[in-house]
Amino acid sequence: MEQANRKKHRELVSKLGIVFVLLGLIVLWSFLSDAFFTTNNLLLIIKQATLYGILAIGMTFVLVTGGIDLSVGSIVALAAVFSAHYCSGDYLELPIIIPILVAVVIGLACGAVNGIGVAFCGIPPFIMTMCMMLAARGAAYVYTNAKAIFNLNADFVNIANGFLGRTFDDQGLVDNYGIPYMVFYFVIAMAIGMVLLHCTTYGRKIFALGGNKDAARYSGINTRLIEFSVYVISGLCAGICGFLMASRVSSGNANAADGYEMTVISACVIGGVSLSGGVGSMYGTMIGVLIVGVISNGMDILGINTYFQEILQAVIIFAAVYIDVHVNRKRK
Amino acid sequence: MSEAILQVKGLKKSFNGVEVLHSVDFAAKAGEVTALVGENGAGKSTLMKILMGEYTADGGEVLLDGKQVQFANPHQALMSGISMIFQEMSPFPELTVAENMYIGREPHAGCFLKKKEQRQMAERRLAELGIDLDISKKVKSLTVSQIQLLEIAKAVSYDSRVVIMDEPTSSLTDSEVNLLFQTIHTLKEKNVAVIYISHKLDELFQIADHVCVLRDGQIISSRPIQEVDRNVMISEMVGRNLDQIYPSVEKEIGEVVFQAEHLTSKGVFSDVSFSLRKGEILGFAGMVGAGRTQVAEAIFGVEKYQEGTLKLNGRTIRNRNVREAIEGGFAMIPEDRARCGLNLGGSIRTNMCATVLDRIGKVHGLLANRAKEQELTGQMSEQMHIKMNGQEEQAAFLSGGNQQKIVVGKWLLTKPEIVIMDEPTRGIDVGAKYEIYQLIKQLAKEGKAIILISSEMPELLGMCDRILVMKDGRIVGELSSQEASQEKIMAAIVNH
Repeated sequence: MEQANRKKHRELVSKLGIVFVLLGLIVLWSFLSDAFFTTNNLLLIIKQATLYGILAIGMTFVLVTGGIDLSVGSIVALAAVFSAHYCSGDYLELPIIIPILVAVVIGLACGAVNGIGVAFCGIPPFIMTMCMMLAARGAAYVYTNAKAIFNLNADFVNIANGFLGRTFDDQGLVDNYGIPYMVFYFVIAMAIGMVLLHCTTYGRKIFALGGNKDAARYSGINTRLIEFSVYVISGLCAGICGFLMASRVSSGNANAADGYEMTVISACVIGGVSLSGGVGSMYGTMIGVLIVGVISNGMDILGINTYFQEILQAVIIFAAVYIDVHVNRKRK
Repeated sequence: MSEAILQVKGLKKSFNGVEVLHSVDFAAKAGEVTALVGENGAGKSTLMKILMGEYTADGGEVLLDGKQVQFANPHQALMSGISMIFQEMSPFPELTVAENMYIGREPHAGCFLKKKEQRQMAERRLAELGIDLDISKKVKSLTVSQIQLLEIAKAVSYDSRVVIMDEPTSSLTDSEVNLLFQTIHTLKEKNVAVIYISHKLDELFQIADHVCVLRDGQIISSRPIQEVDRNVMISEMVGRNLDQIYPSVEKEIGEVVFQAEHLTSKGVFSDVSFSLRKGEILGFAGMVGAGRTQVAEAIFGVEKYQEGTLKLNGRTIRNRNVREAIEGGFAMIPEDRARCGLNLGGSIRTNMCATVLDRIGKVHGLLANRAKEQELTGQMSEQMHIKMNGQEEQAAFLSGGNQQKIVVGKWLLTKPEIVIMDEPTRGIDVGAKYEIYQLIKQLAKEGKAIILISSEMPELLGMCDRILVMKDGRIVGELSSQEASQEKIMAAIVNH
């Protein structure tokens, strides 16, 4: 009994370990800059982290099965240019649900192609999604002829840039900052992701598949369907991020979200998701995303050179995972 | 009498405050086979891992040639002359026999490999041991027993004077076992000390010179083989008297529940027909590779079959996939526990409930039902006497016997009517074996129909009501429990 308690205690420490890293970073940045620990800035961090966060939810599903999805950044770009197209120019007056649906359908379709390739054709996930990464990015450039799409519908732009409860004073200056809509998207998406991964039989099957595919099949789990489905989920998340991206930057760019897949994968890994499958949690992913968000926001505030930021980011990610591997996961 | 090469004195080891080895004394002599027997969890693996330098002992000493040694890792142990042939071997399948033997220490001149010399060296080693192997063959094309012989040759090529073998015969057929024993005899002649871990007691009388029984981290007895009495040894191992290994249970055999007719899968098995009755235990005998597992997998929907029909209670069924089979009331305990039976990284609870997720789920099986999962895992662990530190413990940390009980348990949760067991007692200790036998009999008594595939003939003879013999994908004989004997089974195999 005592042993079980001690084990529980240790599990709690390792679960919280990553939270300590997050808190440590927040304390560090707060010391380094007064502008960091303010309500507005903390909300801004979540706003900035929302796109990574939603992509990371889909990525977590894929990683837990033991796969990988390299195509999410490109799918975001493809969905972004299409949704921008359908809320600008001739289509400026269309109801904004149309560009949203277009982006979602593109995401689902790309995800389904990934899923078919991996689950039904037996292509290794790395190769399949790399092909999709190239194809979707290429399609985005072809579609826009490498020109950005501007002048989007104002309501559409408001999706990602609006605030709830923002008020202005007599001079038209911001009186009450309000809460960015993006914060709600982040929270809602995380909640859905958590329920789906940890509270459904579907989630249980994903872990079973990631832990041992053969054993899962012998247990009567439809491994192909499950494997297919996680890529569809990842594609859906990328589609959603596509219209959010177009809305946030008020334009459709074929080079949008370049390299996002790597940031997203590192956020998941920092959050304790194993690249070999079977291990991970949505909670960990969320903390991982926030860590990545806090790191880059803090460095922006301190005015650290962007190129230098990349180097620093690499060091911090390495350190976080090193600590996780060597401190938290010591063998018995 | 020769001197002990390897001596262990007062060895102690604890994990998380639990002492698993209490002052163990043990010795292995040159030119002798010292057998180490004991139930799973008795501490055999821990002892061997300390010898190989994977774990560090908390107390006591290890003497090699009278000098105290302490290895920091298996490589040091290997270089000092101790090598181990593992239960689950891990050679490099894409490399050849010769390359495997000299992996990591290839003969070279500067940065160039001397492949010809390597081949010659490998050939010489194999010839010394009288092992017949083609050194240029890739290891993936070898049989399990050939790989084992290769591993032994590799061990000897390090000039090992102590060779530890962990369950070397667990996946070998009788003729392959003989080949292994010949090699062990050659090792003895070369004055190597062999430490032989096995659950198969019959073998010990053929090969061992000295037997040590380990139970609960203590050496219970240590005596020359001539003084060993089989029944005494078994009771020493399990700590209680076993009247007999195969329990006898009064049961009734009812009507036919399942029939396979002319089942054929091209190149794997053909024209397999048999019927199975309620309460019957039907054995499948044969060599490894006779197609028994493949027939079972076809019935269970894991693999495809091209021709033939399956009938459940007279109705034709297809079993195109495992889900259909489960719905029809089939369950299968697969042969390869680590590969197909368990998610070793997962907890006991997740493993146990993998088969019934949808059934116990809330809202039409969509939401996972954690409370029910815990309840069922608790019930089943108790029923199966699984030793564990709580339901969230990782399956990988349990002993083989306890792992197998999880696999059986997860299938009993589906409340099956037809249970296919493929080598259900492979690699588990006598105590756990006895429990599994009792369970099989109990299931049969409850009216379930059981297919038992086993390579251990005494097990089939002791357990089954009827035995089918397979060879090269065909059924070549059928024997009732009254007429069956090892000789008759062998005759059926040889004469076809």
